[in-house]
Amino acid sequence: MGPRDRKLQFAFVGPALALLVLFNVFPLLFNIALSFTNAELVGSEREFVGGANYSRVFTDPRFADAIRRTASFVFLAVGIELCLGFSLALALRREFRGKAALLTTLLVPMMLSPAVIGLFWNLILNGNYGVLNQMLESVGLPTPQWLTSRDWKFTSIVLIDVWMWTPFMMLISLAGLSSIPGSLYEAAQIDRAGTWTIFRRITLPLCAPLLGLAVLLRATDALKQFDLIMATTGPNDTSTETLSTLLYQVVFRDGRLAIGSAYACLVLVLVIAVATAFTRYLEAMNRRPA
Amino acid sequence: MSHVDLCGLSKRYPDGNLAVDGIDLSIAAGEFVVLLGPSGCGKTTTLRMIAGLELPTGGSISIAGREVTALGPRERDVGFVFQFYALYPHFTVAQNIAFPLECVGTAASERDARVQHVAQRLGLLPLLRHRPRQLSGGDQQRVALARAMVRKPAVYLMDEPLGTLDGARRLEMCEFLREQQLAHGITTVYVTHDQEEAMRLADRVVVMAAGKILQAAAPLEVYDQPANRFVAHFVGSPGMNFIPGVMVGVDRFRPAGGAIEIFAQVRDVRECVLGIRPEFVRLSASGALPGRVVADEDLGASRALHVDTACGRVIARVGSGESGLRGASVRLDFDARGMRWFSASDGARLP
Repeated sequence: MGPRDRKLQFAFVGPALALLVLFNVFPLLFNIALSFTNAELVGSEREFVGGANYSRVFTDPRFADAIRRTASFVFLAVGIELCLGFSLALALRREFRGKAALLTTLLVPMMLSPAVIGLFWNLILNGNYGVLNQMLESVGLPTPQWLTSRDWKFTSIVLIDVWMWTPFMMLISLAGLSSIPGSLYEAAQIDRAGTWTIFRRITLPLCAPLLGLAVLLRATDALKQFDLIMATTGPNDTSTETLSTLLYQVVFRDGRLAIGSAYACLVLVLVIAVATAFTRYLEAMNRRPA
Repeated sequence: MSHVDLCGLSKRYPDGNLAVDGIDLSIAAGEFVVLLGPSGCGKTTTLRMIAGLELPTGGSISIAGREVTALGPRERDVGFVFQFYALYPHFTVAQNIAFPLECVGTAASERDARVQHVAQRLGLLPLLRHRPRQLSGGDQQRVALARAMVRKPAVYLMDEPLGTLDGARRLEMCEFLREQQLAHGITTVYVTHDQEEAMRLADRVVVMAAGKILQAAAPLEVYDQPANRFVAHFVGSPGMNFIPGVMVGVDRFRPAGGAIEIFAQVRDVRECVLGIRPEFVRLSASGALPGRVVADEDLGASRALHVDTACGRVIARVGSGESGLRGASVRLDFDARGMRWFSASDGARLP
């Protein structure tokens, strides 16, 4: 490769690299640096305080609470989305009239902005004038305060997330299902496999790697859940406080920039840890003898 | 040992295409039948209907005297070898072979024993722990075969199983298949478009075209006594020569454009076609038909000379020693024993 080619290489890669450093690498490093100071959102005085922020964060029960809540959110939402999405895909795998139209309709929630979805569901779930409660009332069922009662708001947010992201799981599942050659099913029929055996021994294991990938994507995304909560119960609500909303509160309500940075670093480590564990697991699954 | 009977079997696809057009075929127990024909002749559809992978739109199928026309593949007890193997990619070779046994609930110990037994017969023992994608095409096909054989089904159905193998592997597998089939006497229906494979394997060759059976007979009979021009042309390599012409007098045939007359015992037609295989066309100094050699194919044990004559292009099979004849002027003679006569209108064999 001549020097000219090398220059050309930099010319192509340079701009992207510069943007990456400017908007990703620099803020990340700056954030790490901030987490070791006593910086506030307002004011420019800051001193190095060592690991003081981290020891405060680790002993803060709010942090432990937020982690627990976020974990159960990820587990519930992604789990339900996976089961529901895969079942839908199984039901929709065959060709039928109007399939394209139905699929497009089912994909709409995924395409909308979470803020818009939050507004939608506010109207549906509102305890006093929401559509859902009007319907429940008309058939004589109890009408809970979906978004404001302590017992319900977490569940409501999980269900909204399920409504929003099940289509994604369905789409990936459909791709996984359609990647299985029809001749395998024919071979299984010849081998006298029953419907359940075919599902358990052929469909599921052949779809599993793709489903695993979908779960990984959804899980890392759900770990960062923020916008849906902002748009429904708002950030100032401890019973739906996730890591991201906690972070927002610490920095933008309390103005404690340094502690927020420490939180952010920990969340980052957590997400990376989960993602790594998961990809390892996926790789191992692909290599394992069945 | 099970016999298979097809009666007026038809398949019309939803798009209106009539793939199989009312065929009748009785396959004896233990017989090796090869369905032979060009692509789209309905041979694979017929096989898939016997397997239950396609349901016929007319006619009936029975296996071992049991009517199975409307039954699914599960209820038919057939072994099917797919053209592209259709092995389960996430199973090992051993698991692939064991799967049919697993599905009918065979005990694990017996399962292992039978997998070992079949694998040993097919030379797969060293590969049992491999995955299909780690194997060559030939090995994958042997695994597919082992999977079909492990359950000892009533009928083997094979859809161009050797289609993706190279020449040497193909011959080897052909011999192997025939050996296995003879040893176990399991009724086999085998689909191919390769006439050489058909000749090598079959007890009976069924030549199909456009959804119909043109001829069903022993390989030699199909070769020697083809039922019509299509069969005569499709079977044999190089194919049969055809020379159209007219009958003059009671027993003289005059080829179109040819200044020769050939003794022919064809009655009641004026226009007809002489069919003669290349091995019955001879070079001879006293031959009646002059021509020029335009191409010279080396077939190994023999040579095929393409000769332009007044009656059109004629291919002669000669000894491998007769080389260097391209461009030469030769005279051709037809051996009366090899002459077959066909109708000029529909190509049917004339008696």
